[in-house]
Amino acid sequence: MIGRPLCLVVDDSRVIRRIAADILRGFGFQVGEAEHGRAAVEFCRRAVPAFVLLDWNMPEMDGITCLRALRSMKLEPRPVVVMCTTENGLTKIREALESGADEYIMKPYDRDVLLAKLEQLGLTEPA
Amino acid sequence: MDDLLQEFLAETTESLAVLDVELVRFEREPADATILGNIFRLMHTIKGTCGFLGLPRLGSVAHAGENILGKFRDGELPVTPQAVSLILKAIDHIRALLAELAAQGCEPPGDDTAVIAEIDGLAAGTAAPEPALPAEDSFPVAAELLAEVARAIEVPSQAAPAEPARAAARAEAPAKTPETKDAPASSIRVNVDVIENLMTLISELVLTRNQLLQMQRSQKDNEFKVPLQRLSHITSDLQDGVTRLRMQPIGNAWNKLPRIVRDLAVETGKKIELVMQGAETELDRQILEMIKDPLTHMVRNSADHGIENPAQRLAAGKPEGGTITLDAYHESGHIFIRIADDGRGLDVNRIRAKAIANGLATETALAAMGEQQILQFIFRPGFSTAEKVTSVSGRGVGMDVVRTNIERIGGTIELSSSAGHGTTVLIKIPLTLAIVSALIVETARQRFAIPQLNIIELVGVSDRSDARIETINTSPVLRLRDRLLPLVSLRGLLGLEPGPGQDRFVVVAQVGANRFGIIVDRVFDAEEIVVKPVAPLLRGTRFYAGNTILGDGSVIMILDPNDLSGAAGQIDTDQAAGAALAASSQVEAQSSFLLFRAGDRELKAIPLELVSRIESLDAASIEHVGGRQVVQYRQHLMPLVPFHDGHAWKANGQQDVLVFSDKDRRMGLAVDEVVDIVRDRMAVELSSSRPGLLGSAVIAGKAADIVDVGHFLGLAFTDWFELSSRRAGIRRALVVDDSAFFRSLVVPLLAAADWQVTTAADGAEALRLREDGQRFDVIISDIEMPNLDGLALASAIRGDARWGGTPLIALSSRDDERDREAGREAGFDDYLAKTDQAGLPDTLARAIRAALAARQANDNLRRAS
Amino acid sequence: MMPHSHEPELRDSETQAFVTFTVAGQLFGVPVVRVQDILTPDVIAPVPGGPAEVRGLINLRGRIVTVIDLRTRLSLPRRDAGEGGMCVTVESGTESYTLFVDAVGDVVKLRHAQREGNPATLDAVWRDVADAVYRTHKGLLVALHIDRLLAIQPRN
Repeated sequence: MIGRPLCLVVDDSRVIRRIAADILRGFGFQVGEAEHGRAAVEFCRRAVPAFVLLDWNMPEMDGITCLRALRSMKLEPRPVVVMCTTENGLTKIREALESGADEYIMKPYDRDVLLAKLEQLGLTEPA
Repeated sequence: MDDLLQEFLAETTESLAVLDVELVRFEREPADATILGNIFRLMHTIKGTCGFLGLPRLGSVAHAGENILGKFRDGELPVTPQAVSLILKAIDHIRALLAELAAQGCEPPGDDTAVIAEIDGLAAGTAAPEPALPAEDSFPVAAELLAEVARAIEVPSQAAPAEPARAAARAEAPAKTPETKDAPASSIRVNVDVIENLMTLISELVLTRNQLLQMQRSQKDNEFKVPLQRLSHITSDLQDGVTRLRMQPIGNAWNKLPRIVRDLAVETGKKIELVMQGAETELDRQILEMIKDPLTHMVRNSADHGIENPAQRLAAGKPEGGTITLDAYHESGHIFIRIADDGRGLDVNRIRAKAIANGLATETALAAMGEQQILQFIFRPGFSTAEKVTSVSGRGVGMDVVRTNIERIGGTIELSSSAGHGTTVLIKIPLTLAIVSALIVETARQRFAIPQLNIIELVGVSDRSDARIETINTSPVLRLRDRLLPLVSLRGLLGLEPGPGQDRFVVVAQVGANRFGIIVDRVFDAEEIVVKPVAPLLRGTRFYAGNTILGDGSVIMILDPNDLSGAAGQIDTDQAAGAALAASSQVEAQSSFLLFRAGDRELKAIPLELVSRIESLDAASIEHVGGRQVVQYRQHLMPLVPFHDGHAWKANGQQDVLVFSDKDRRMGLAVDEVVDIVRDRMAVELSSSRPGLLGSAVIAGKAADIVDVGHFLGLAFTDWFELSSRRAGIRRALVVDDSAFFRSLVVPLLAAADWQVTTAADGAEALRLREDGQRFDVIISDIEMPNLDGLALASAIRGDARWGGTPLIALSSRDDERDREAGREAGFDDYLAKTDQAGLPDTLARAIRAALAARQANDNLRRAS
Repeated sequence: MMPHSHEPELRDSETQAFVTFTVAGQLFGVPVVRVQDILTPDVIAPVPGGPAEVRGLINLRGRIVTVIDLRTRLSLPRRDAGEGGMCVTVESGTESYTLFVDAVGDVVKLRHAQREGNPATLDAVWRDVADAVYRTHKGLLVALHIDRLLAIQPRN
C-alpha cells in the first residue's frame, strides 16, 4: 500500500475505463473505477483518490454535477480532477474549470497525452 | 482476438440494442428529454470509444448520428419518422461494421460516405427525397413531412423542440416497453462458457448424489446417512442457485421486436402497437436462445399478414391501429408465452383449400373437422397461405419449423383464430431442460436412451406363444394381452448389422394416442441423464432427440419416441395433436386392418383391434363335435367357426385362425390365408347381401370385403353379448348414426343378441319414425349428425311423451368431459365413446342394461307414488 | 454463404503457425490459433443415420464433441476402428469439432513466401476445403480452411 497513490476513473464505457486503468496502472497508480457520477461520489466517501479522471456524459449523474458534488464534499487531501471531453469549445472548458476541474483532456487520449497532463499537474515523476 | 476489442464489441452491441428500443420509444414521445438524453449519451459514448480504439469508420458514422441527436436536443431539427429512420439506419450500419470487425479483427477498408452524406444531409435541412413506397399503399404523410422540414428550415434553432416534433405521421409503431430498471447495485460479468461448465458440473454432481443415495438406501442405518443427507441438501441448493444463474428475463428476446414492428409498420403503412407484458419473466438462457427466432417469426407474421391496414380496419369497424400483444408468465412449472393480435384472423376456407390442394386431406375428412382442427394444418411443412410472398416477412410460413423447435425443447404450441377478430398462439415450455429419467437399451452393441416418460412397460421376447414376435407380411407385431401391438425394430431403423443375441426385448412405448413397441437386444437400468442438444450437423438426423454422457463417461444418443412412433406404421401425429385440441376424432380416421382370404380369392378385411391373436393350428388337433368344431386352446376348448358354410376342414396341415376374445372366452375364425396388415381410412359401401359381411371398401388400394365380426361371434356363442332377453317386450332398438360403418358395426352386435334393430341416418329421420308411430325399447344415437344432431334429438325425445321414457344412449366420437355433460344434460342416459371399438360389445351391453334398469326403477317409483 | 478466405495481407517474411497432420500420406495444416487441443481418442460413439463425414461423438472433458472423419470428408477410404488415429479439436463459431486424422505432426511456422495458389489439378473437394498450399521441406502442405471444411450437409 505504501507509495502507490490511488486514482479514480469515472466513465460509463467499460472499454474506456479499462484502457485508462491500464495506462494509469502502468504509471504506478492503484486504480478504482466508477461508471457514473453517483458511484464516483460514493467511492470518494470511502477513499479519497489523489487524482480523478472524470468523463462528462454519463447516466445517473453527469460529470459536471459530480465535479461540483466532489468539490462541495471538501475532500482532504483535495483530489486533482481532470475532465474528459470530446468537445473543446471554449464554453465547455470554462464550465469545467469554473466547476472545479483542475485540467481537461480531450478524448481520445493516449498514454503520452495522459502522461503529459499528469506531469503538468505534478502527479507523477517524469519517466 | 484482442480482449479489449471483444469487450468493445460486447459493450457496443449492447448499447445498440438499447438504442433500438429507446429510439422507438422516443419517436412516440419526442418531448421526453430523458429518453433523448439517454440516446444521445449512448451514441456519444460509442463515438468516444471508437476514438480510443482507432476505429475511424465506426467513429464517423457514430458522429453523424450523434450530430442529428444533438440537433434534436437543441431543437434545431424536428423529430420526424424520416429522421428517426435515418438514425436507425446509422445504427444498422454500425452493426454491420461491428460484424466485419468481429470477423476480421480490425476495421476493414471501405466507404461510408453515402450513409454519412444522407444523415448529414438531413441535419443540414436538405432532406433527401423520400424513398419510393409500394404502390398499393401510398404514403399519405409525405405532404405533412415536407411541410415539417420546410418549417424546420425556416425557423432555425429557436423553435421549441416539443410541439412541431409531434408529427401526425400515419405510420407509427409505438411500443410500450417495460420501464427500464436501474442496474443492480453490484453485479459482475461472467463469461457464458463458465456458467455452462458450472451447470454441467452441478448436473454431474446431482447424478452422483443420486447414485450415492441409492447405494446408501440399500445399506442399513450407517454413519453415511447423516452426512449424505447434508450433502444432498447442499447439492439441491447448489443446483437451484446455478439454475437461477442461467435464467434470463424473456425481455431479452423481445428487445429487438419494437424496432422490427416499427419498421414493418412504416414499410406497410399500417398502425401497429406492440404491447409486451411479463418481460421480466425469467427462463433458462438456452431455452431463450431457442425461442428467440420463433417468437420473432410469429410477431412478424402478425404484423405482416395479420394486422390489416388502417382503411381495412376502419371498414371493419375496428380501431385504426392494430395491437400485437406479447404476454409471458410462469405457471405450474412451465413458461407460457402468448402472442395475440387483433387482426383479420386466419382464413379457414383458404386453409381448407390449401390442404386439399396439397393432398393433405380429402374433402370428406375436412368436412367432418372442426374449424380449430383445420387451422392446425398451418403446422404442416410447406404450408403457406400468404397470398404473396412479401419482402417484409418472407414466406408467411415456417410454423412447422417453429413447432419443431418448440417441441424439441419439450414444449407445445397451440393456435386459435377467429375470422375478423385475430389470432392467438400459445406456447408452453417446461422450465428446465436439464435432467430427465431415461431407460438405457442396447441394440447391435450400441446403447441408446429412451425417455422414461413415454415408456409403458417392458416385454421379454421368447419363443413362447404369448411372447412371440409375429410378422404379418413384413410388419412385425407383438401380441400383448389381447391386442396386437405394431412394432419397430431399432436395428432396422438405424441400419445396424444383424447379429447374435438380438431382438430379445420389446419396449412398449406410447406417444399421444399411439401405442407401439420398440425391439431391442438388451435393456439396462433407468438412469437420470442430462439432456444435451445434438450438434447442428446432426440436427436433421432422424430418430434422435439429443445426446448425453452416462455415468461411465460414454456418449450415447437419446431416441425420440415421436420419430419412432411415426416409423411404426405411418401414424398420423398431426391428427392426434389436432384431436387433442379440438376434442374430436374421426370415424374415418386411419385404422389398422388385417387382410385375409377365406373361401374365395376375394380379400377380406377386419379391424386389427378386434383380433386378439393370429394362430396357425395343427389341423389334426381340431375336434369335430356335433356338427361344430372345437380345439384345445390354452387349457380351454375354443369353438372354431368357418368363414363360410361350405368350408372344408382339413385333416392335417395348418389351419390359420383369427382369434377373438372377450375376457376369458375365445372364438377362432378359420381363414384360408392371412395376407397383410395395413393402415388406411375406410369408407364402407354398405351392402347386406351376404351374412358375415358388412359391405366392401377400398383399403390400401385394394378392394376388400369388410367382415361382420358380430355375425361370427354370434355363431360361436348365442349369448355372447349377455344382453338379457328375459324381460318380455325388450326387443326393439333404434340406432341413429349418419355413418354407415358405425351403423353396421353396432347393428350386428345387437342383432346377434336377438334385438330387432332399426336404423336412421340422422335425428330428423329418427323423429319421422316417431311420427309413424314406431316405438323402441332402447335408442342408441350418434351426436354429430346433419339435419338434426344427437343433442337436439335427445331434447326432442325427452320433451315428448311418446319416446320420453325410452333409454337413450349416446355413441359418439367426441369424448371429453364437456361433451359428456352436454349429452347428459340433453337427456342421454349414458355416453359411450366410439373410439373403443374392441370394447364396444361389452360397454354397450352394460350401458343398455344399466339404462334399462334405471328407467325401470324410475317407472316403479312413479307407479308406487 | 461462406466468406472467401480473408487473410490479412501478409508481407513475404511474415509467418503463420500451423498444427500439421497427415491423412493418407498427405500433409495438412490448420492455423494454430484455431486449435483447442490434440488428443488420442478414447471411444468414439457412432451416430447411426448421421452424415457419412461424422465419425461419431466423443466426451471431451464433459462436453460432447462431434468427430469429423477427415478421410471421408476428403473422399478418401475410411480407416477402421482398430487402425488408430488422432483428434485435432478446432472451434468454429460457438461449436467445437474434432478432426479425426491419421497422425499429428509438429507445429510449424510457414512464411507467406512459401504460399502457392491451389494447383489446378487439385480434386474438387480438396479445392473447396483448401485455403492454400505451402512448399515445406517435408513436401507440399495443404492448409485447410476450417469453416469450409466443416460445411457438411446434414443428412435428412
